[in-house]
Amino acid sequence: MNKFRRSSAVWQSRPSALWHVRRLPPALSGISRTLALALLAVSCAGESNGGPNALRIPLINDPILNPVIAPDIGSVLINKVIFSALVRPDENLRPVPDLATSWVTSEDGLQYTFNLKPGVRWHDGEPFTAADVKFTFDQIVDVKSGTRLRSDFAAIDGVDVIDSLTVRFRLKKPFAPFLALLGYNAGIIPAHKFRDLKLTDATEFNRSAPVGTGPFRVVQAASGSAIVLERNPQYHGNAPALDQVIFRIVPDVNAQVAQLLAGELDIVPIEPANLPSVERAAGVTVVRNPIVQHVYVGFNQMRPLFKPALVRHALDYAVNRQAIIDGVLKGAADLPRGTIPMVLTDFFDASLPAPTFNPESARTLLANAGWRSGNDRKLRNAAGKPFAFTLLVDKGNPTREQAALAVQQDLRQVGMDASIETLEFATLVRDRVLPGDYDAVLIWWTTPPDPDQYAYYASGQDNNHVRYVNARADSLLAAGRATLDSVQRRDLYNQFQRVEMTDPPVLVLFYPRELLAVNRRVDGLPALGLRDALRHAERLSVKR
Amino acid sequence: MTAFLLRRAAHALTVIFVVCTVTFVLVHLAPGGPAVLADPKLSSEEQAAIEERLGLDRPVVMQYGLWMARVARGDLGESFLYEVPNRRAIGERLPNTALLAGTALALSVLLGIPLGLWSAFKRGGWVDRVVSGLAFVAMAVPTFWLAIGAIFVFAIAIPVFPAGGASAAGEAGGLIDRLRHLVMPAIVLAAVTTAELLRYMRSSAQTALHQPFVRVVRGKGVQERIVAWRHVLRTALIPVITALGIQLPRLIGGAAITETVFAWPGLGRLGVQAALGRDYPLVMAITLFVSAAVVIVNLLMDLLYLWIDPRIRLEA
Repeated sequence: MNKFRRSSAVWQSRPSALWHVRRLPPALSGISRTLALALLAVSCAGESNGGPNALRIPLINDPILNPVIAPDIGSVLINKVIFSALVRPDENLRPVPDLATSWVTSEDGLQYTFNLKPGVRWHDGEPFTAADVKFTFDQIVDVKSGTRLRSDFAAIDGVDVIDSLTVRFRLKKPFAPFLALLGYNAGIIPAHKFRDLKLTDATEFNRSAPVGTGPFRVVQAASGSAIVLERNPQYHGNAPALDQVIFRIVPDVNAQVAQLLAGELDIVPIEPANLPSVERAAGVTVVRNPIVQHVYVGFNQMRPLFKPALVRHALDYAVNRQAIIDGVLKGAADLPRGTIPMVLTDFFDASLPAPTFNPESARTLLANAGWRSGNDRKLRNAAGKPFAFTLLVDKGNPTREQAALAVQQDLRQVGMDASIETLEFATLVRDRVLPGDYDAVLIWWTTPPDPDQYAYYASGQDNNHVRYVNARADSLLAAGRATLDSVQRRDLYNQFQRVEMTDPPVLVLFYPRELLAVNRRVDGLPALGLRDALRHAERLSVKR
Repeated sequence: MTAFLLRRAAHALTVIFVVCTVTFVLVHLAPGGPAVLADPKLSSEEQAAIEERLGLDRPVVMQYGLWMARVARGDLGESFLYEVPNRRAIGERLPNTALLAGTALALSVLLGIPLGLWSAFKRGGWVDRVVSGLAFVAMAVPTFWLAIGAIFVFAIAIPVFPAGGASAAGEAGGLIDRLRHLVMPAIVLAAVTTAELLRYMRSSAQTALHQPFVRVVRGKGVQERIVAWRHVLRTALIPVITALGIQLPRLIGGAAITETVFAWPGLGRLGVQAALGRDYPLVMAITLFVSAAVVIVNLLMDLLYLWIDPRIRLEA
């Protein structure tokens, strides 16, 4: 799950007629000019635009500069620039070579043999070899190492070094998402930096002196302030266009927007609520691209209320998603058709009808499920019990809080009584969702660029927090992750999407688009979400 | 003197112990638990492994005992959020905090005390009225608003100062660059402190002005300036120093809002993020550090009273 959404590639470049003085009331402007003059001596020196060709991106907190143990989205973003992976997603989210030049999959799908790019060097000059790949994945699957990637690679049985530039992965069973996951968060780390050191104890590495094979290397890390990355002159791919990438630590999103407007940041992920202030600004453009994420209301199916598929089907009709997309998200989202995001065009069945808002159909289905509305227009079952539950939403994100309110009001129209409870995200997850102590929750999944959702929606799986049980879905999802042929895979996921139409595991509200406010001078950002775009950091440039 | 210091040291240790114990209980009682575990993707096995590695699988009382044992050995533990020793996490932020708090404090003292004194002497004059008005504004306007307003005026509309950070990252940030970044956060942080000091100084100086010795001094025909600076100021300073002692912890640990809006890499922000992330060891380390600093500062304040007002005697 992450805070960021994704971006697009409509980059207009314009000479930097930056930051015009905006109109202020004369009096205010007079006072501020006087003050400004008084402070001119201090202020004139050192304008920040004359330095090296740098791109500046905000992070909300100090990152951990190791992709294996990094727990948060900020760390994930910066690590994609520092650490190359075996493959990376292209603009259609298909895995293409990065540190691996080619690979062979065995007939039974149980072995992947990768040929590694020769002559690649770590940032410290050491040669990159198959032993580093093995080391990285040995750490990833070792639950004691502090790994945060283990669930992605649970299918790995072992990794063998064939020779210094060939490495073979043995899988426990065929696992179709494997390549996509290799290009997702699994940056390769150098074995030689961890000879007698646990990953979590390598303070210097994790904090200020990481060593990767990516297009930029860390040259300066100031806690709470910024991480400065410089072009890696030995980069194994095309020479990076930028001199520097600077990740500035700016915890507050309003302060990030202010810094963007002041020309101190170049790419800022924003909330719909920030749109007016950035859209007015000269020199800033907003891009909205779909991301591999679905935002949904999950209904706890351990609760008798939500067990029947009919009820969940009815709920699907009861919510006016388009109104939420237009009103709350300012259009920065797409109507869903099930849980597989639309951006996975290789697998998504776009021929399915978009969900319709139809309270009448909802009432009919609910009546079939035994819920009838009384004189007070409230739904009651045969025992006279009202249809009442609590909807959890995380505190502090206005977009999701407003979406929850909209859902509450729509459900009231069909006679349901949903009360909203807002909780801090950590509390919501740890105290309520993971133990299953909730009725309904408005939450989201950011998934790897692959349609595999076995872990989320197959019965009894670790991440199936809604406790969805559907035998047909189970077998489709199990087959989907075990089938390597992409045409067959597509068919399986299209069938899964159809199952979801009548027995929805969750009420998908929308597929969000990442809102990025970007300085118009920025060029070369691929048509991918920031998360995936940063895997191509060498292509980014900033016009002076 | 020795007896006094010993007694105060024992007192200080007790205070720190109580503060740390209360903080420990509070952070563990807070719902949610460590943010590093609040990842819905973690399997129960991974959760258990992380809990074991961080020592969270042990009973809370035992965790507290282990924490105290480490502190006794001078070890502040490891942060959950950053995977670094807390000593380092604090050490990295301390110079920035010292710079910002020091500048704000200096601004407050240099502005608040003379202006407060002036206001007391020229009560109802234009300086008094303007300064009092500004002081009320500074105290009434939320810091967050003041900070954002300052950024919009002086970084965006009239771009004379940077909108945030402690230096222009990636460039050889010299002294001038550091100063440019310091100006806005220091002024915003100093606003409230200055206003409060000014109010204290004004009322305290007014009280002093009506004391008999001032009348005596004036009666002797001593110049008004000397009355103010030598006689009234010294007497009036005692309650102001008390107020200053109260301000200092706020400047060290409580500048979180200013630090957040200006992206200033200080200790207050580190503390808030540690608390929000339920980074138990880091919260405890910062609590210990700040409470020790407060206790020491208060001790220094007590010694300062002695120097300012010889009538005060140590009570051992």
